[in-house]
Amino acid sequence: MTAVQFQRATKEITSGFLGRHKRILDDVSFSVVAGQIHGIVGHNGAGKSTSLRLLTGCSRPTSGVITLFGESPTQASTRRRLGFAPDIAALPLDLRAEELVAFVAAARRLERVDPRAAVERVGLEFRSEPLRSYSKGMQQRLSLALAILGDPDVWVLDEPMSGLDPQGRQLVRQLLIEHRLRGGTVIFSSHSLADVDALCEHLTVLEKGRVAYSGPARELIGVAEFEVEFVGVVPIEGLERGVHGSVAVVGADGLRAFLTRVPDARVHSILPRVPDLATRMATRR
Amino acid sequence: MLYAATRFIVLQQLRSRAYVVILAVGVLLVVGALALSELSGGESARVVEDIGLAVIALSVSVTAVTLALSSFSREIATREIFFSLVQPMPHSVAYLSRFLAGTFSVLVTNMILAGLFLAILAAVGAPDPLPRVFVACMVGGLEAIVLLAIALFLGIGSSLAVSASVMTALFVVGRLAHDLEILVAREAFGPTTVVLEACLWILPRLDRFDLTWWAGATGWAQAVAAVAYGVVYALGWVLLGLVRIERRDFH
Repeated sequence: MTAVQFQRATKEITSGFLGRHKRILDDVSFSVVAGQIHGIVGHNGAGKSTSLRLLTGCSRPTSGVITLFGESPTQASTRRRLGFAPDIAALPLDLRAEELVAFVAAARRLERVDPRAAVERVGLEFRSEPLRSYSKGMQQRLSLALAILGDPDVWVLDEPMSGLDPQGRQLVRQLLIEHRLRGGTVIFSSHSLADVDALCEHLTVLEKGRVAYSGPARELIGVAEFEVEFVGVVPIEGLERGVHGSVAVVGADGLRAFLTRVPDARVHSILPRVPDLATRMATRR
Repeated sequence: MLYAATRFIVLQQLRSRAYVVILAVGVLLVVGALALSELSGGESARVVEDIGLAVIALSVSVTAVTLALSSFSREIATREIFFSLVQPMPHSVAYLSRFLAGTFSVLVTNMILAGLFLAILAAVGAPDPLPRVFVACMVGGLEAIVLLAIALFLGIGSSLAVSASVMTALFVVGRLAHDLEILVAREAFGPTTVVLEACLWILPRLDRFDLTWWAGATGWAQAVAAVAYGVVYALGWVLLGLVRIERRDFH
């Protein structure tokens, strides 16, 4: 079942005093299968955040069609199935976490939401102080907690790991995997290759507003002729991609990490960056 | 949804530092009128009344514009608006909730300052001030709501700086609208008189909400006419804002 579909979506905005047109997304097509973790990667300005905002229905494509479970995301009933955390956790700083949780619960018509449990779910300590006293990382965590309140079917997270400490990143990874195991769908953007490799089964690579690659993450690595020798399957928790002694973590599909023996440490240095891989693959085609 | 959103925005507005500072300054100035009355030489009640009414009018108007600009222009600039919209909340509900919350906060400010003002007037022995102050504050509150509606409309598509500049200009010109009307009637501007006449229809006629004038000449017929004008004018801007917000793209 397709959860999200972009069909030839183009987004143009006008900017500046003279209203100059700027094309942010250009003929973007890709789909996200329900029950998977889908990563959107690309350099700054590639169109990642714009793509995700189009999904929220707050922004509309200039041309093309975007659907969420076959319907327009501008419909309130469809949008209720989606939880969104923006890249910058812009929250009302004069309020307390419990007040924000209460508002989101009322807006989403959720019953019996425990603010303490909602906040502690993302590793935050419950405190009765305005958000102004929270650090950037804490605000980021709270933004995530509010996005996933009530466990909507699709989590759309714009750079959810940015500003988090290693424990926070690990916790977010764990939350995404747990949601996927429950049959939920996750779409998230990231600059971090480690995060994308560790979690995503499918990837969409954006470059200058165009899709450079969209498909299985494994295939992308395969196209780049990266040789791996699978010697075991281990739980992903606690593993970072890279060389660990004589073993390298070379990839993951969201549930498992793939390891290989490393004859020397060169593997680490030749690990390619995903956007570069996409460029190489596009050239081959 | 509208109730939950309005309640949430009211909470935000009343907790904001800007609101607390404006209210505190308003309270200080109203109390300050009492100190100035000591220098008036037997006209203390009148001095307190004039200064107090001017302070209330200014404080309530500044509160309205500040809340409107911090509600929408700032939320759009900082992308805080996404927090409301993605819940999901229709754009029109987001807009209306901010208008209703702003109206509520303006009325709260008005009541606090008017209550304090009445207490001070009673202390200096002003003769039967209640009816005049009530009408004056009601009409003055409407001026603030008119400004709130315009500022919210501007906030949908303009930056904070542009909205603030336009609102300042409208406040000054709106207050002077009566003088402008006299000049237009005398055809003092030559061929541009027709343009200015048209502007008088669009501009907020804030002169109709002059508190000091109302306090001195309370006529219920004029009060009702001013209230009707304020309600219709503010609702006109709210309707325009609803049309505009539905077309707004938050990218």
